[in-house]
Amino acid sequence: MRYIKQLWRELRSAPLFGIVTIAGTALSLFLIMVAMMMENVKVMPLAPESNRARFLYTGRQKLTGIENNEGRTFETPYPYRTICELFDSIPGMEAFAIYSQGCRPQMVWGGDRKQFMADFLEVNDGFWKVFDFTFLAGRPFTTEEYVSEARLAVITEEVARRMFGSVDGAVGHEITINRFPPYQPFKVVGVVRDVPTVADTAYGQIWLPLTAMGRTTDDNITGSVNGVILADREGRREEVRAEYLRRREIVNKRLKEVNMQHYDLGAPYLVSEFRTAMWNGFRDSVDMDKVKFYTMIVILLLVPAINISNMTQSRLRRRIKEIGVRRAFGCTRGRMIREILTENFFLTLAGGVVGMLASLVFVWLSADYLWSNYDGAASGSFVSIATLLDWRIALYTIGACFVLNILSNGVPAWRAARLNPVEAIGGLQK
Amino acid sequence: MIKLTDVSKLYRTSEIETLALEKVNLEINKGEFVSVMGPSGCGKSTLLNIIGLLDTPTTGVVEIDGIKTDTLGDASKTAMRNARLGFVFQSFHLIPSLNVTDNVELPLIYRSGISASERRERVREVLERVGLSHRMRHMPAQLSGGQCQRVAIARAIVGNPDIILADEPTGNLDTRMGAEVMEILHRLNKEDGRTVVMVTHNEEQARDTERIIRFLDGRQIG
Repeated sequence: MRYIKQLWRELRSAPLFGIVTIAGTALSLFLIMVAMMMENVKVMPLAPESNRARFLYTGRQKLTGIENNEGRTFETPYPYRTICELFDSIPGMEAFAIYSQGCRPQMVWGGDRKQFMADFLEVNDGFWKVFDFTFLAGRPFTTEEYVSEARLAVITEEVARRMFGSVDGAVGHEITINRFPPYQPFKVVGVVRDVPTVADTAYGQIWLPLTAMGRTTDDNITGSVNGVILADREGRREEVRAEYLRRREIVNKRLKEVNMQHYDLGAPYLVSEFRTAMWNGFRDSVDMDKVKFYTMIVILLLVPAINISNMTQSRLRRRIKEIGVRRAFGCTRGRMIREILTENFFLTLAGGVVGMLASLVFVWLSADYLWSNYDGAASGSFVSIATLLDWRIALYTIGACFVLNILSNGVPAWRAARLNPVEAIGGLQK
Repeated sequence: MIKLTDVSKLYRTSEIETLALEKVNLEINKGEFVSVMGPSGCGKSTLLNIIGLLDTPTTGVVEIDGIKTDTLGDASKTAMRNARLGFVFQSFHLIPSLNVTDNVELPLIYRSGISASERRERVREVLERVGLSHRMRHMPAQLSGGQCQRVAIARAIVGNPDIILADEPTGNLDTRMGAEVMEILHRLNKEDGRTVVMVTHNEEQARDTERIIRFLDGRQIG
């Protein structure tokens, strides 16, 4: 409290310093927080991907040619049969979701023939166990319905409202999708809450059974599905991987007949690996990705730190007599440094809070732009402010403020503490 | 109580060397009120800085209560300043952003084991003693010069030090205010038994003290 009072009096006597420091810190923290939030939503628990910590992603299969195919490599989605052979019912698994590669928009229409574009995804029955969708009406399709190749659909509330006017009225109605001639209809069995586009594994607006699309009979070397394992607890990766490698030998025996072999870079993947390295084609490791990210954060901290450091230096120069008096009356060098850092920490924290709030508002207002699915049909990102609010963001802010404070005020504080009290006071006689 | 043995202080710059004190040998007894006199630049303030452990002698030893201070580190000297020494400056050197209470409380903040309520009580007591208990919430800018110096004295004694070092405490005050300040210093010496070392140019004030130490060109001449 004493530090805050002291800081407040200082700011009243030099308001420009306070404004510039808070603004500089706020801008830095704003940029850092935006970057952090962009990264955070990739891995944070986020319905319907609330169990990301237990997710193990299959990634895409990687094939390499042998003998007369040597030198040829493919990276493709898995064939349905292969992904089941490699991952389904693997020990340590609670459920296994298989979904079609890519969520693409197609023209759909309902009973009133009103047409519009919607993103659809073909999925297996385990999909509803891996992802925690909120059903507003109806239910998911069952294993029996899945196996029997029933033509059923689960849709989002946005699609339900656009096609049928309400959520409750949608269940039991039929929809038709332009992609599947001869345009046989699918019966709506469930309506779920809209899915944020940042939950991009589960994301869709219409979900159909893979069996109804004939995807499960696909027996080619290259396929069109990916998968996510929901482990029964965290830290199961190595056990699952050991069993996966054993199964891969069996698959490779079969592939040898066509001079192809599976190879991999560590499947199944944790969410952090999947979100970062997957999209770089594993050119960079996750560690390298983190190094790049944190380098950017350090630069964002250093730039304002240098400016604030100069301002603190000049402010302390004005308070040089006070420093001398404090030293004369018993303030040790260490305590002097601590006092200056603590006082300035509150100033940095004020800037940090402003920056954090600004970043939250900015990200929320521009979420549709930041996480738009350019190829998709979603009318927005469906990212709510509640999604962005994460206790870790507050921790990041305090941490960043602490680091910024040390970077910007550490040297001026150290120099002030090293002053000879007599020189600081200007000589007792003066 | 305070003993200086062969204390010299040499200030060096790239161009010039100045001998501020030359082989000073001095003893000041516990409870003594001593004046230090001499023309400007004769080394009076340097002497006070060295006794106050704010500066170190180039050669020689300063002992306070038998403790040789040349062997002490910065933290120990700082602790000794806080516990044993009180400073009164000519220009008061109150912290302008702190009110009277916070200024006076300063030495106690740097002392462990004193609760906030104890600190406030002690501050109230010393301000009453210097006749300023009605100005506790005032800022230094709202006080007269004499009142500022009384606040500075309160700050010097709040930690109950044995020794008060006063550098021209009345130098910036008119005669009436100067007399008030001198009266307080004499009271602190007589009633509390505190040792007072005062630098002054005022012969009359010096004559009222128990001993006058005179300096000229860095040397003790009397």
